[in-house]
Amino acid sequence: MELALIESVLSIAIRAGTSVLFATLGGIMTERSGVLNLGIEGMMLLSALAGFAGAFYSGSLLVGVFAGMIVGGLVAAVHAFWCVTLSANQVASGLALVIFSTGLADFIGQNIGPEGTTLVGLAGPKLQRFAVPGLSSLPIVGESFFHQDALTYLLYLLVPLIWYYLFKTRPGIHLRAIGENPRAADSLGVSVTRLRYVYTIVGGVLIGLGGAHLSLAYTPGWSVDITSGRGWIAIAMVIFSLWNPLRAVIGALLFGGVTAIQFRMQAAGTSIPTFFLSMAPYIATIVALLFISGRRSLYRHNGVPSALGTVYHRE
Amino acid sequence: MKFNFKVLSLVVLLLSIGIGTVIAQDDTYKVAFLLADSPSDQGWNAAHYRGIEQIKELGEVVEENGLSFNVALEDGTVLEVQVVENIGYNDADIERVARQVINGGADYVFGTWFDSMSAISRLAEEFPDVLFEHGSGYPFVASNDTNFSTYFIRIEESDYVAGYVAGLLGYSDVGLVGTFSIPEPVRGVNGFALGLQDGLAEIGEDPAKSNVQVIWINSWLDRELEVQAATALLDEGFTVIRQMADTPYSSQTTCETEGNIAIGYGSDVSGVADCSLMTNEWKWGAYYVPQVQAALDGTWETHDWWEGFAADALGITGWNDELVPADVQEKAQALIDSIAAGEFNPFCGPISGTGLSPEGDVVEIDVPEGMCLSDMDQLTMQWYVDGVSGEYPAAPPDGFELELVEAASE
Repeated sequence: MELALIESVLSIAIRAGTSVLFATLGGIMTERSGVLNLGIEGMMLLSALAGFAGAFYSGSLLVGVFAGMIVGGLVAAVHAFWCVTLSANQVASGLALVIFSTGLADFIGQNIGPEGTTLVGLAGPKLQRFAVPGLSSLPIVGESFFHQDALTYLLYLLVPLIWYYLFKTRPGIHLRAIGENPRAADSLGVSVTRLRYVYTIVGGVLIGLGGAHLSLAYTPGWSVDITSGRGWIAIAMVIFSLWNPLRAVIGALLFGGVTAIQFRMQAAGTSIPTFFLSMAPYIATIVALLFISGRRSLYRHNGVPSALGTVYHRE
Repeated sequence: MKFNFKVLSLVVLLLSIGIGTVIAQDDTYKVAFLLADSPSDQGWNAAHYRGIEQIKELGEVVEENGLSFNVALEDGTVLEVQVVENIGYNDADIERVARQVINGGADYVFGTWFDSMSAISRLAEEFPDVLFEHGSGYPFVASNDTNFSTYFIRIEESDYVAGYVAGLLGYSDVGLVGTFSIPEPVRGVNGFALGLQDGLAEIGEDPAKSNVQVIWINSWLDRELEVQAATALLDEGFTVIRQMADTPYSSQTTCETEGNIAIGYGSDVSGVADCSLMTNEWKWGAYYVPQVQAALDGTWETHDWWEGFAADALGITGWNDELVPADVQEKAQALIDSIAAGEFNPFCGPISGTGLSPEGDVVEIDVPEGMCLSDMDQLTMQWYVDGVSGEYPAAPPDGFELELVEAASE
């Protein structure tokens, strides 16, 4: 492949992968605390709507981004209330949230436009891509990594920060502890309930950023089913990443790159079966799972949080 | 007859119990339109709904309920127009909704998208007293002699006009975001490329140097894929992008960078894509209004309707006066007039192209001067005219056998 091609595929992969990576990071934060989050799709749908509506009516992108974050956090708080306080089944809660949010987002979006009309087709403010002086003139990575929008740059900071937080700080140890062995953590004085709430909501805020990125930057504007299933991709990516933010980056790039490569191949006149390429991220997820199964040592830092999906009752 | 009467009386009964008012039902006529998605989609369904709303012209609107409305006609009949949106693409779902609509008393049912064809044709057999229509499917195959018609618009005529406009403006390299590489979109791609070449030739450019690069997204509408495909073409160096999905996202993406040019398709895109030259759009009302009138008059007959500019079923909207000079717009109108009058047919020779044989070899296809593609040739068009590049459509199982018809003598 020529350099320009790599550059362009990388650039699209990053653009397409940004919202998925936000959502994946959110999923990782929530699930590291032991709360399974299958509601990502719903959280993204509502926060994408909130992001666009906020920016459209206030005229301010900042308001839009915050609206997305707040709504993501609120939906996650509902999930936390069901799963932590009410000890409800986490799978059911997540799925219920998706079904509910899908309908709610469509209903609201179709009715809160000017004079009660739809929001579809309205143009609001959008996050522009801009080049980072200096860095953007680097070969290959310059144009692809450093000519993006502000939320993508935020992501560059968040990924190492979250990794550091998870694996190198004391609160990070607490977070992982309540996901691995809540009873032991509790006996050491860590409040499982409080922290599960905190990290579910933090996860929701991150997912909300992903939703806002969709409606404010990647495909500016709102439409029905704007996520086109990205929330589900993010769930697969959480597993693919083995709950590690650094590996999530690979997953998001892979996901974002697949369609980009496929279209570039079409434009270049070669063709790989389309359906094969669409399967690639999922195949990679399954391979990753096969790879870790049976390797206990890998579980310790990367694998499934042992208490994931289980309710913790204090006795 | 008996069955329908029972259903009708049951509905009357339920209505009278439910609402508490008894309405005489013998002077109402109910037409139902089934839509795959919402009319707010800025694309296919928006275009259909524009056409459906023109039915209001038949009388006076007496009631509106969401998308549906009732029209009081001069002779006292109440025409109920029921519109059901968001039915989706699943055959079983489509049939379920269509059944509900028929059980609700519909006399005339329109399936407005490809995927509704099987359900509509099954129900047409089961309910011989209800009239059925299917749009954008297989004419000659699906329709029957009693109560089932098909209809479609020759959008490729206007694709040719869109290409002609781009050619007159001197744009010789165009990236095209296509949907599925099946005959209907392929006809449009070829029509666009032929128009582009004729436009270029008219201003003295070499049409052989033009290139239309297609990317197929393998979906009728998908915001994400439309954006990505447009981005891939822009990254490849194209600055003129032809949208061919009904939704406007590839044009919108194109216009995000200054200096690019978009060409809209299906429903006016100028509102979201300010760099668009124009949009060639569907005008379904040209079919819906007379058909509903014919059903009311009792003159309805089955047919396979396939018309374009001649029936005023196509339009060019959203002219960008800054980018397209008035004389180019006038030339486009003159072209439209000659297509409408039957004087010009975009698919008449000389045309040369290539396609894939069943063995996977590239074979050459020629339409000699004086000959034109027949309707059947167009309905099975799975090859590119010269000047189009991209992944080839699947090879027809028996290879290419054009039947061709002689050009109408002037």
